[in-house]
Amino acid sequence: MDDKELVRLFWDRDETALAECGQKYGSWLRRIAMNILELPEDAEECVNDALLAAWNRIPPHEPESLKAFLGKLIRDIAVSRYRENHAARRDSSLRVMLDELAETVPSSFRVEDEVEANALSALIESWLRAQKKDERALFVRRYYYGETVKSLAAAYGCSEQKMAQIMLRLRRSLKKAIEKTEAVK
Amino acid sequence: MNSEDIYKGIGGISPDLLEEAETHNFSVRRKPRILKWAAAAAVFVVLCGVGVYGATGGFTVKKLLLNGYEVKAHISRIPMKAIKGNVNEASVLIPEQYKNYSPYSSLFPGSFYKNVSSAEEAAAYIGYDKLQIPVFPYDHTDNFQVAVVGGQDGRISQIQIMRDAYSEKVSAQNWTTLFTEHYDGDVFDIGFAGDPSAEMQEFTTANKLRCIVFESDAQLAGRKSLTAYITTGDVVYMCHSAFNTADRAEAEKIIHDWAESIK
Repeated sequence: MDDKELVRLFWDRDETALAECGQKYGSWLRRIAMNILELPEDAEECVNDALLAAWNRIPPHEPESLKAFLGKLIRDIAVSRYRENHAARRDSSLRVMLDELAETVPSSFRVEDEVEANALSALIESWLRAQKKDERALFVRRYYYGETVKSLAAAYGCSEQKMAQIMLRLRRSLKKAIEKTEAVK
Repeated sequence: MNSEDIYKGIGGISPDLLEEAETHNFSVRRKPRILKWAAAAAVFVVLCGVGVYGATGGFTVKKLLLNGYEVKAHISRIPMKAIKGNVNEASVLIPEQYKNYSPYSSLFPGSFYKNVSSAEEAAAYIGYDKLQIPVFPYDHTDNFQVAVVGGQDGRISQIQIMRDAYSEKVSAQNWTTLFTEHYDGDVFDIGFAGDPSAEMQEFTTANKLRCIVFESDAQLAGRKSLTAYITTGDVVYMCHSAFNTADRAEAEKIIHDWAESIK
């Protein structure tokens, strides 16, 4: 079933939308949640919560990309779950990823509302599109999908150390892009 | 701003960037792991472990980030006038299944199975002149059938020769599939999505046919499997063997002999 038909089922309040959606995107969502939470039971609950959230939001939403819509939901839900669990080990996957991303944060920049959050997304996207394809894909796989540095190194054919350096360079580049935007404001 | 703002900001990027990240073919390739039998082949290209999206001979292969591969065969639907054997009887028998269908006493209509005892009998029953019968490793075959799928209107959409066999060490399956002009699905979607352990390799046979091979760990009781595909003459040939690690050589030989027997 294609995404348009799936969204139509949501709009028609047809509960088969949840089953169809789970069948099509369940494993994809579960893997993202697993990368963040590292606990299968929690990841499974997050998938259910994401599907329920989609049910509650469509309508009124009519997402152009159901996959991206669900991806955003599962990431937000997984982070919330992570906070709830928060016997947060320093070496947990999300903690490590957030610590890495902290390096991209200019101290003066504030995200106060949704408009600014959307502007930040647009800025990150614009920066991503200016990167080489390899590096763009690596960045998205690391910080959207939560794939580990080790796994990326294996896919890319380099050492973990080399991959960590690539990531460091990308984070510094993103930080500069954000600072540059802030300076123009 | 904090790191979570950045994290959420990344969550708002466009779907095309997500798709690209899943399917992008990295320019740096991992060192190949070469199957013993494939090393002897003239050409051997390894595509394992990296993002791949492109045509590989008779197939389009898409490496998914999370779930293995999606593979589609490049074949044309075969006109029914090219299928001249008695398999055409299914265009009468299948509508009768629908007509006589009883939910409590009949099999679900739409499929017709013909038991055969030899490769020659199967080929004659179908009557398609480009059809080949690849070698199969064991004399003893547990299941040897021609399966025909059709609609209530008698139109035959798919014909498949199925052979299963088992040795003490290795189980093997051999499927040969024809899609007719009445097949309305996406042209032969092989799949493998959902098997993150799958790795794909490719080699060219002595007869210059490209063969793609998936190795998977997703078998019961810790067994592995090799599943190979070749297309020629608009027919899709598949050979699958499941084995314990110690019996790998026998499983590889089955795939190798099968592939080399297709012209």
